[in-house]
Amino acid sequence: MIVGLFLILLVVLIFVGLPLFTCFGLVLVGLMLSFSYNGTWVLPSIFYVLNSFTLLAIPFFIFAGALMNEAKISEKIVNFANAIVGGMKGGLGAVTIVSCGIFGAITGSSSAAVSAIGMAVLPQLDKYGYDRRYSTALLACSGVLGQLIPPSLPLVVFGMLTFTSVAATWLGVLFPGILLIVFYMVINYLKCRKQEEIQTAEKLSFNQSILRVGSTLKKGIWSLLMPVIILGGIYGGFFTPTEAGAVSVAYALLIGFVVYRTLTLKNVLSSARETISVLGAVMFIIMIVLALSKFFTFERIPVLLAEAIMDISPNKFVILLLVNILLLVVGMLMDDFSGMVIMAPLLYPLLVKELGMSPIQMGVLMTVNQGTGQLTPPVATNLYVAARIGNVSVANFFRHTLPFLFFGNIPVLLMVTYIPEISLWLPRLIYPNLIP
Amino acid sequence: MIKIVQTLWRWTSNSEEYVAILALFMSLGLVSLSIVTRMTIQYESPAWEELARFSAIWMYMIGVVVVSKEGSHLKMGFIETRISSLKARLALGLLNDIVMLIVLGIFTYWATGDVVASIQRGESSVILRLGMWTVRSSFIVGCALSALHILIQFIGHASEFYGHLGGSE
Repeated sequence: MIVGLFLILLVVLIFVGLPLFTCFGLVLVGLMLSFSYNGTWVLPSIFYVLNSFTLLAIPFFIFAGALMNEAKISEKIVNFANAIVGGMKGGLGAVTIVSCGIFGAITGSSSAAVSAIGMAVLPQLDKYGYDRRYSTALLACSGVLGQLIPPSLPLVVFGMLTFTSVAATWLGVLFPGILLIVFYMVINYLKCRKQEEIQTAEKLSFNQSILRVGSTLKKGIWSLLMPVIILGGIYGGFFTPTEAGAVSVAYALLIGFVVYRTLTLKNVLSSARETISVLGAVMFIIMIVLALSKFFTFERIPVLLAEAIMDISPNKFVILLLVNILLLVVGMLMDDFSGMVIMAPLLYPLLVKELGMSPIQMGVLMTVNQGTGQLTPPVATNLYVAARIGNVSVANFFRHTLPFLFFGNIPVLLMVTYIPEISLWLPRLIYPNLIP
Repeated sequence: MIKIVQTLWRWTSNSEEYVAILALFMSLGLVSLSIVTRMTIQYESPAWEELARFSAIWMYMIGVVVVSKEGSHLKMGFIETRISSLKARLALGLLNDIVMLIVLGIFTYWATGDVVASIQRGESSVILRLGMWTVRSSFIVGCALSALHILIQFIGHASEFYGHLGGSE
């Protein structure tokens, strides 16, 4: 009862507009006072999680993404995607989707994908007659692919909290990520098909197309090789996900300084500064939410939540639906990292121990769900970043995101929830001993 | 005396970012070194990993200070953006600052207790045998410096708020 009241207070504080860390901090302190806890366990429990080698992947990938952004590689990715899918009706929309997927395979962050790809494609989309509100919505939605295509940063947090292999969960989310690309491309095609004002790039013959793909591939090969090196290195057994983060920074520096010569020492410093700023904002929230999550464990809230949900219905189908609704609500109120930190330990007993779900599937389900949360206000990072880049207010373009949400994100989420093989077949193929 | 304090504060404030960047490069360098030596001479030291983790913790905490200085903590801003009255917005800003100060104050207090307990227990790291207080004190530094930045912002916001109150009267 008291916990419930404090959770309502949390929602109110978030709505009032207090910084998220203070909302969680106040609720934590309030709960501790109400339950007569002292503060001696808070810092040790935070320290235990922060002192993790796995967690280091987050700053490394954020830094690599910032460097790639400074090195202006997004343009090369967009040109390559344009050569592949740009020729069809709504081609440039498809280019946006594919480019965000490729950029996600480099940075693992959705907001980085929105801002980097957005700056490169929005002027082009305008030129080809796309409504700015639609193109901004498309960009915001495509940004979700940034965190679904490995390396996925929220899954680093999930793996660390639930002692699940990060590399295996990354493999698990890859296929749902590709599915989402396909769904988005179909939705984009259907939307653009009948719009006369949208122009298509000039039709090229098969040979011309191949030549164009070849030439853009040649120009962008160094940036396009990055995901191959990162994922090949991890799944080839050469390095861990954290080390892959360090390799991607080294690679970004190499191509930025030596190949493209677009990086300067000043760029590197500003990228490092940006990384520190992002980390500072995210990490403090993670720390406090970690303590809050520990408090919930002390008070057996995960067990009580599992019992409460199972009391509503013992049917697995209904339970999973309720879990998804709960996660969607959390995604509306919290950023993806906080949502993951607070919900993963809460739901683990229910999903893995009671329902027998694989931890990998659980991680994938949570990431896809949290990705949807990036598009659902009031806390919807992608919408705000896209609004800033597209210079359109969220209220103006939000309705254009709805087709992508209802016919893209939700179907993929339901597939991930009810068809375990969608997230498990690839990890099972690569790690046959890890998943029975 | 005040001048010395001001100079010291300015120096600290300017160096925060660089300390965090240094910590980032240190952890990055140590992890990279580990990969290179493992692939070339089949050697890697667990001490490098430990040091990388510790410098990362300092980086996270100084990052919190940098964000506090920039005033860029994540927030929803749902109501804030809908308030048209400047005075009400300033009042909400003041409330934000006070709540942040309270939370940071409590965390500084807990962090101090944690460092004292760590020293009393004589805790040291597994590989390098470093006193754990050297790492755990990052929480005190991070929370205390953040609180100081917020306090300075609070004073600025308060004077702005009273200035507007005076203006309307």
